[in-house]
Amino acid sequence: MAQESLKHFLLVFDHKSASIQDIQEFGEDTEVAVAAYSETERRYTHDQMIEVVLIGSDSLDTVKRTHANYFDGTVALSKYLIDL
Amino acid sequence: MPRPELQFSKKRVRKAGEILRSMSITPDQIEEVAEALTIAENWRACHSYALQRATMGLRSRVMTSTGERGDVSQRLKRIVTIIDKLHREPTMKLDTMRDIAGCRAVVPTVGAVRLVQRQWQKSFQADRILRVNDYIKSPRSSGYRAVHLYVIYDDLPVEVQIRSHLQHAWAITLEQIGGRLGFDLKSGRGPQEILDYFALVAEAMAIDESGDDVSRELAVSIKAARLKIQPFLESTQHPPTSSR
Repeated sequence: MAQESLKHFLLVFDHKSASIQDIQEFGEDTEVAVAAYSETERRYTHDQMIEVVLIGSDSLDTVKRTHANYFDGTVALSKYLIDL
Repeated sequence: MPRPELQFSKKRVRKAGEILRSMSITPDQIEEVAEALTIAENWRACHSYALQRATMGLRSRVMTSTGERGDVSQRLKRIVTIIDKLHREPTMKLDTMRDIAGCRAVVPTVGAVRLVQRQWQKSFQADRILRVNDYIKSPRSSGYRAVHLYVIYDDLPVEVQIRSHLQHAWAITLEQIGGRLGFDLKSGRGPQEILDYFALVAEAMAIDESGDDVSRELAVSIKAARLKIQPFLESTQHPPTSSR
């Protein structure tokens, strides 16, 4: 299998509205993505309700599944998790 | 990608961790704290190369062992979470923290989790696997289940999480509810009623996943626990008070 790319996504999640405020995509440029991560974290240090996180994956669709806590519409795979 | 250079000695990384831990700042310490933060950020950035290699390794092992792509992602730990960990674990050192870099695979079943785990252990030098935390055999008290491997790339540790779809759904729901209520439930912090509910549910989900039947007692306990968490769930229209 050909080595697939790893794209970086910088998510800014707002706990007040429980929604993503911003997603920046950095493609494969790790250095730029990591620098932007620190810079964005610093910008929001005063606001505990904002969570900044840098996630890398083959696509945003995969991120939506592996880090579904930041996204709506997770499928409740178990009856015990429905309607929580 | 160019490999980030650590611009400080490891000793200074450790000291940076100690400073971030203390964080009771007088005005003359502000510069020191600012520098500690810069060092911690640089230390984290240094893990990005190792992390990328581990993620690629995880992808290929998921494919080799299960014949499917699975879902694989990586993340660098947030600085606030690093600081929080230094607070929570007084013996923790920043220069030896093992989960600054982490990657995760979500695969269909517990059987697939074991296949991926075995593939790592078969195809990776044993001395580069620092530790295996088998949270399927020995779940965390929260109920969290998965397998975590700590592997070394480029002299740096990377945490590899392997979860089944069901285990992942449980963990994600815990994070979401924690976020809504403003509690770090996955670290065991929050109302006992909610922690109890999730621990019971994790047990039942593991039994479901194994193909066995959930006992009547467990089903009854879950029903009772579910009633107790209802008031918390109904209160989540209000913004949470704090979050990490």
